[in-house]
Amino acid sequence: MPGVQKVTQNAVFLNIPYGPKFRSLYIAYVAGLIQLGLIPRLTLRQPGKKRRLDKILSEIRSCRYSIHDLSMVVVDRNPPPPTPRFNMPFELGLAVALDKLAPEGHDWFVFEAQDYRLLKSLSDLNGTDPQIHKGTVRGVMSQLLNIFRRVRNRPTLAEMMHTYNTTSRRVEMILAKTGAASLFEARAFEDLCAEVKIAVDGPKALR
Amino acid sequence: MGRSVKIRTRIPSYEEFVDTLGLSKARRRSLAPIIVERRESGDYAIRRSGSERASGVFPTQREAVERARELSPYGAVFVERVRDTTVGGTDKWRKVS
Repeated sequence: MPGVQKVTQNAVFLNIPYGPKFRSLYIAYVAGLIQLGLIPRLTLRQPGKKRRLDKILSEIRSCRYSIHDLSMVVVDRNPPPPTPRFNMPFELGLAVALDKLAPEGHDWFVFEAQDYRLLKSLSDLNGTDPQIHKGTVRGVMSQLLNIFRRVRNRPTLAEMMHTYNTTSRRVEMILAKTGAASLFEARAFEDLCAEVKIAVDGPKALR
Repeated sequence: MGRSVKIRTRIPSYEEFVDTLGLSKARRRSLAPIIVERRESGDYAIRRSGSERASGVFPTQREAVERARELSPYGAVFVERVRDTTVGGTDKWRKVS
């Protein structure tokens, strides 16, 4: 793999759907990861003229971990003719290749809402156990705790749910403050991350 | 249980975390919480977390909080507790937004 890129050891690339139906799970991923002392990253945060594929690959390579939530990979019924969207499985493929080829390695995890769906949609991954969140915030948090076992200062599920609830109450404020139409815009994502970190650290965030 | 990884990295501080977002100095500053704290002289100062300089000084906590809300209508404001109560003492902070 050409070029040397610095890998941030606590960064997690989030390969998730960007849409209103996924908003609560998106907040759950961001809140849960930050509570675990990790740094969530999305491709929307990279400005510049780089080709989108290059941005995605560069972002995945800079992260020690990646999460691929395939729970909403469905056929898009909007015209032109109903078409499956391949972006997310494709990005998962990039992460798998990186794990095999990069000398420093890369840990990737697949999240799904239902048992056995991955077996049907992506049978090449047979033998890989996806994390099943059942489409719930609590499910996402619980699975994050399962895969990321913090050696010290491990948060509880209750603490993570509290952070989620505190942050969720501030979403409209974040949108008003940033002028963003959705939380999936870069400025809103940055504010969301800062809000979560303040909710997690409380007065510890002050100095 | 499926695959899992052990996380040994240190939990970043707020400043370290915000640094990773790659924000400009002004943007970082705008995201910093505002603090209302009592000064030894008995009045109340408001300042951004991470800043040494007060943005304003007010005779009462109420006025200071009101000004903090004006400065940061959507941001977090923390107020230093000035009384010992059942929910927290003078070494604690309460978040007002």
